[in-house]
Amino acid sequence: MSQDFVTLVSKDDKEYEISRSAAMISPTLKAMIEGPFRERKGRIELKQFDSHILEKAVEYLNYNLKYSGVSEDDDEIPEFEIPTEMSLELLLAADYLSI
Amino acid sequence: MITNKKIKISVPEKLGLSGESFEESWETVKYAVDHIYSDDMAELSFEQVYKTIYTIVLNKKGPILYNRLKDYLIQKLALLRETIVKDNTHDYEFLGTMARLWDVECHCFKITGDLMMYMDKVYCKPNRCMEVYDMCLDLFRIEILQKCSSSLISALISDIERIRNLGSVDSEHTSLWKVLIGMMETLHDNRDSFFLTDFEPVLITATEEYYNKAIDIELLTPIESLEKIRKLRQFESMLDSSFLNVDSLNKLKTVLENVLIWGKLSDIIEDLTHEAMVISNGKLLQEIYDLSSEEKYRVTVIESIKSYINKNAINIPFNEGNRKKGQNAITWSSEIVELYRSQHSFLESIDFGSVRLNNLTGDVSNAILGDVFSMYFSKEGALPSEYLSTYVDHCMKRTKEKDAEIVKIKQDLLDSTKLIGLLTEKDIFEKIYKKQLSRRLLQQRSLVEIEKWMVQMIKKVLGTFFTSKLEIMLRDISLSSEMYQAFQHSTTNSIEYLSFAPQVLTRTSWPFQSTNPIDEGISLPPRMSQILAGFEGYYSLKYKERVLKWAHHLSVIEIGCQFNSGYYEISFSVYAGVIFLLFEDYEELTLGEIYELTHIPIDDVKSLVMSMSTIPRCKILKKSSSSGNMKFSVNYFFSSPNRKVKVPVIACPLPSQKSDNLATASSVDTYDNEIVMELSAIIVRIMKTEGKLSHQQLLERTTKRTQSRLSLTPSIFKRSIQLLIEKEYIQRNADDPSYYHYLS
Repeated sequence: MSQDFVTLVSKDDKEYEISRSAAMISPTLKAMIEGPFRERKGRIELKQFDSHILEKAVEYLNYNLKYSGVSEDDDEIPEFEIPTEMSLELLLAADYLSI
Repeated sequence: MITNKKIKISVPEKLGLSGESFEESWETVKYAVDHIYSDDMAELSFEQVYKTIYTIVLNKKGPILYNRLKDYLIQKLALLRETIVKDNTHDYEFLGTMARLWDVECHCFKITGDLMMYMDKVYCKPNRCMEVYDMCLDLFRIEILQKCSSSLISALISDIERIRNLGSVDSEHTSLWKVLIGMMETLHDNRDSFFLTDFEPVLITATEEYYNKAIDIELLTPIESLEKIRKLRQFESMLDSSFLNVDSLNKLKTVLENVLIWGKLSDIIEDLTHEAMVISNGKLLQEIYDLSSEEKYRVTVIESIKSYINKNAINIPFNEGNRKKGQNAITWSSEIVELYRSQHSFLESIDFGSVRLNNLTGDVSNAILGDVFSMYFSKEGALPSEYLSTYVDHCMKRTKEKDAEIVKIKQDLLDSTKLIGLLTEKDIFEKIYKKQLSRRLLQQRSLVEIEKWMVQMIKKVLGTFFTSKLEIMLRDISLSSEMYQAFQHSTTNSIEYLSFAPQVLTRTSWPFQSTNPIDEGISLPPRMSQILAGFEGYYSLKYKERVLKWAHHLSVIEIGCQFNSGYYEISFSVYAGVIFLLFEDYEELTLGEIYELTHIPIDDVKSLVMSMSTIPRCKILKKSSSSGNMKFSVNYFFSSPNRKVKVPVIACPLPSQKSDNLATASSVDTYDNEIVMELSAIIVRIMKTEGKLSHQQLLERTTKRTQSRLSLTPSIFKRSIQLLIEKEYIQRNADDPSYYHYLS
């Protein structure tokens, strides 16, 4: 429980390290990490997602964490870029992770 | 978002829409729930279950899952209820089991809720049904709490009472109660928590009953009861604060207040307050006062304090009766002043907080004393005014006699001014005070500085209106002594062995009716008339328009005289002195001869001579009768223990100086007349502005204006009205006699 990073595993067994605090942004991941389940060990398998989607999700979580303190109308926040062709898949992932 | 239509949006593979049937999926969920309940989740993958639920919900099977879950949980809870909750257990154990169950269930609910997160979001919220966690709690409420509510509540109450009986807070018990109450507060139906609807009322009634029985006031003394109540309250509030929230704490506090203070203590509050005051224990009184912050309660305590002081005041005997009236007055007043002083310093130590007494605000202790004493004085009528004035008189005279005690006397005087401010019959006081002051001043019985200081003090409490004349009197005295000095410088023909101290008084300010008509005719010994004439001449030179008249009846003559047994200084009234001086030239005189020589009316001569020849301690004349004709001569065998001898005036030749110092019928009569005059002035002022008023209106307004100074009686009011109608200041309305008009 005490690790600072958790590992997300994609469909093609690619692993992504993400900081605990970034993962906690997603209520789903949070419940997984904090609950008494297998996932508390810090390895979360998200086999339904392709690696590029998961990568993008991780990117978003980090992005969100980074700017969460900054007020919304601050100009310094860069746009989070989403490749159009990924949009639908990302939408589903976001839904799943409740982010 | 900018979309480039040429780019193909990749469609996700049928994500999660796996081929599993609902029943298969439900098995997975059920399996998970079972594991949750058996606290065996280490190998279970959250992700898997989550995905299953996610899929079910995506497939629009949410409602089915929701209901299925609900039914399943009901089953589980029912099972738990039967296995864990048994009625045969001991109260405390039962409570423990309950608390543990609640703890475990909460944990399970939480995890279940987490698993169902997606369903909460996608199904529950849009469809407005409870989220899974809340649904679980609700199930717990229905299945467990409500079904064993009565045994839970009774177990809890009896456990609380057990601790109350033990009289010491047991943290194990209280923390357990705290958990259970936390549970009851969490679980609520549509409106209020179970705690509010079911438990709190029971707790309050039970507490009320418990404390109602806890103490029997009739078996205890007031102080013991207070002690007991204090302990109970302390304990209960300690106990309550260990497991209740602030709201309920306050509710219970009110209950306790109701039961213990209103129910029990209110019967004895007066005794209790009195007891505290008898032993003048400020701390105790403070405690009694602080028992409740309820205004009604505080007022009760204050009233009790008042009744105590009043009781004490009433107990001070008046000793009415004409004998030794002066002495009675002094005893009474010094006791009253003492009472005021002691109670004042006692009450000063009490913090009354902020409480509104009728219309009185500000310093409560002063208000209390003010109330009590002014009520007491008003009941006693004019007597307190007389007595207090006499008391001041007594104190003033002592200033002359005992220099060492001046500080103490000043304090006495200062305290008495506070009481003077509370007198009802202030006018009577002023009248008597004026008379006594004038005597003191003319006979030089007191220290003028202290008199001046005292008048300032009285001015502070009664206002300028009452003291203006007193101030003029004091001013006259000071001016007189200045003038006398100036006169002494100006005149050279001072007469040896004769000292003369004139006092020029403003007639209107002094309480004497006027000069005595007989004064003009009296022949004074040549030496005296010479010096008077000298002063008259000096005065008329200085103040041309003023008329100077001698008021012998106010003056004093001191004559030093050698008797066989020694030298004595004898002080006389002027008349007696004049008579005595005749014997310088004559061996023997008859009454008639004295009249011839002095022109003092024969009756007065008789009584003056009598006083000089009969009273043992100043028998300076002797009487010899030969052939029915009484003759008088100097009694050279006179002796006295003191060098100074005063010839008292048995029957003074003056009507105005007849009574010694207290209000007699005649002084009350003149007092009435003065009031009538004053009232008339007030009425005229009112009518002038109003023009037309009914009797009732006029009475009300007049009362309002005068109430600070005197109590208006209808008869005096009628007399004033009558006087004004006679003098044609006002007129009755011809049509409606209850109306008056102002006549300009």
